[in-house]
Amino acid sequence: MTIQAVETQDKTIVAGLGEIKVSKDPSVVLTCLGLGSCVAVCAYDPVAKVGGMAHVVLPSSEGRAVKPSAKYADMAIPMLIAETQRHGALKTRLVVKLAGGAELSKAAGMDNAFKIGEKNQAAVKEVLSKENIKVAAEELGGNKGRTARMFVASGRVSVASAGSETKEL
Amino acid sequence: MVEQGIEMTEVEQLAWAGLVSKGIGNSISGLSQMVGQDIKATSLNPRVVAIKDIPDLIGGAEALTVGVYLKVTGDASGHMVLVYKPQAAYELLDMLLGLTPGTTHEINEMGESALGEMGNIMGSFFLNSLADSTGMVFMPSPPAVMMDMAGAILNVALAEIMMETDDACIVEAMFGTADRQVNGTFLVMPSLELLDALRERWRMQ
Repeated sequence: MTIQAVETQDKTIVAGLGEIKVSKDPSVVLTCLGLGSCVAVCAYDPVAKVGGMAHVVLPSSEGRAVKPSAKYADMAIPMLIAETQRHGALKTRLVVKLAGGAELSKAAGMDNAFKIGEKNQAAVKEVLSKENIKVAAEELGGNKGRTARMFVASGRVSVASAGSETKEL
Repeated sequence: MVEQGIEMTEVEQLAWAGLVSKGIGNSISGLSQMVGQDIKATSLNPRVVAIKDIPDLIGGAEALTVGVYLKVTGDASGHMVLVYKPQAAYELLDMLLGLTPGTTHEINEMGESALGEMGNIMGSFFLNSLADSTGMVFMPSPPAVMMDMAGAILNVALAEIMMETDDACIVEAMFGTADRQVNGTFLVMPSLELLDALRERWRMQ
């Protein structure tokens, strides 16, 4: 069975910086717009047809967070899993795809002492591996901004960059 | 370092608005001198916003944007970004490089360097004014010129601020000439450390 997403009728739901969005509405497209160093963690249960997306901004909450926040990789991923489960997904069925984690410019102003794109990638992968979740596909690194979209009907994830063709993950 | 919220009293907001309007005025006069045109601020908006909403101030996270980013270091840190829609950046480059309007259709090495210099001037003039007003020392980083999605351009700056807080006290200044479409936005985003240092000074005055 194939479900074709009719894009004109799709409802876009944007996960902003540090937000998690989960849906089982087949007309919804979960979206992270203009990812630079941030990482979009896309999780999909193909049986329950539940999709979730976390827009991770920073690697670790260590010593900083005063309340749970999805901006940190270490907090976002358990929150994303829990939220998809609440919508009927099973953790063992989750297909996880990643996009983002770029370093936009190597210029001095952006040398960002802490290489945040790389650190976000590493942190997200570490937390996923602790959760025993394999990464099914990824579009990470590089020096271009990206927009990630997940079509809840099919679990299809597409990644677009400025000035280049949209890729399927 | 633990996350904090940003709450400013009315007096602090007024002091901050006064400080930045002087700084922005200075940086726009710097830009006018560089371009050789009368450029004026068309709006100046100091306010506290949710960081996740900042990309919407410059046309949305996915919009193709030309940005010049400068990090502020010194007595306290912050971020400055000069933002143009690509078409406005091209027109500005025509103006800067003395080309017939409509000549520039991409940002080449020359354009990148001209835009970087523009960021440099606006940033330095702003920081000079801020330093004059506060007695603090600030340094701008070399400019990073980028053409990409707005969200991606702002990402590192916003991530750094989000390490401390989910809201940011920012200044959004729009400017342009009367006759040509060279409107741009200058975003100043101080760290909490810088805001706290300013508050300390205001309290003592």
